[in-house]
Amino acid sequence: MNCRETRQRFDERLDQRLPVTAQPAFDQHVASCADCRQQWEAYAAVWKAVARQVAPAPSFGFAERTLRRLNEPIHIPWRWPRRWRWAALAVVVVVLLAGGWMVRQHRYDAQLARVYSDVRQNDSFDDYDVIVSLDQLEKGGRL
Amino acid sequence: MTANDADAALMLRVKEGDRDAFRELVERHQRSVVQTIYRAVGDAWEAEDLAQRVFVQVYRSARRYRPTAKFTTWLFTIVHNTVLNEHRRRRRHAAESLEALQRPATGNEGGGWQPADPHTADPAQAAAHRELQDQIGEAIQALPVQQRMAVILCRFEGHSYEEIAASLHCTVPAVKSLLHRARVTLKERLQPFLSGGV
Repeated sequence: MNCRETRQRFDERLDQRLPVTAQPAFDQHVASCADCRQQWEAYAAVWKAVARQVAPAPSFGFAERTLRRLNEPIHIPWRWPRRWRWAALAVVVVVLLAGGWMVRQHRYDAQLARVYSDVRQNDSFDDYDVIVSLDQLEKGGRL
Repeated sequence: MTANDADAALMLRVKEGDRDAFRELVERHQRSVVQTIYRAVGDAWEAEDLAQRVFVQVYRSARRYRPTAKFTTWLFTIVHNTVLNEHRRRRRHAAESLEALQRPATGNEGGGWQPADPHTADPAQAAAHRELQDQIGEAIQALPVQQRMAVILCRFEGHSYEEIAASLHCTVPAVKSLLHRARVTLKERLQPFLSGGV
């Protein structure tokens, strides 16, 4: 077993899940490689220290208090049903798309109206300018 | 009769609405549930409140219980869901958890309640022990909630990878990955405090 393989098996060793066949090779490598030994000892020491963390026991009368809570009315906070949430999202998307399309259409109509109005007011416009302007509008460009 | 058989038998009685069986079930598991939640949320008062909610949930879901899986796996699935909900609630109401942090220690809360190691008569050593306890608690608290639960169930409850996977709704390789990442983070965080020897 090399250093990389040994370090990959630290977790299995800690959780006592290292196959019996692999254990001698693991132990041998750790005993012979100072770097891996140091890493392994640090890894194992932290895990050992974690186990020492103490936590409080339930206070006196815990079971009694729990039984009393069985009589409390059930309070379930209202939430949107999952299906409704998707439906609401779909409605929002459709409204946004329709709104965007209507704004775009409105702008197009306004620009078209402006072109015709300019043509009517300005004699210097020739047919070519009108065609180019309309062509730009068709391509979605601005005048 | 194994412990699991006894739990399953009690649950079948709870299904029928037997409150004595429920009380027995609570008494059997109250310690592990309260301590698991305490380690996950870091507040003793809140841990008791959440543990009671877990047991109330067990009572109300008893009709859906099928004794096919181990009772503790089912119980810790509820514990995990409760901790996750609490985690989400805390994120939504950051101010509330700040308030909890500022709550004066009542002698039964994180930091204040921890007994000194009975083997260390020396006050300096006791203080160092308490300091280490605080650091370990903080390091566990700093882990992402899934990693934290995996560490707690593996290290303190001695659950197998398969049981942890069932409780956390994930696969066994995912549990291994959660534990590995948690250990690397804990090592980085705690090694400076352990260099003097544990």
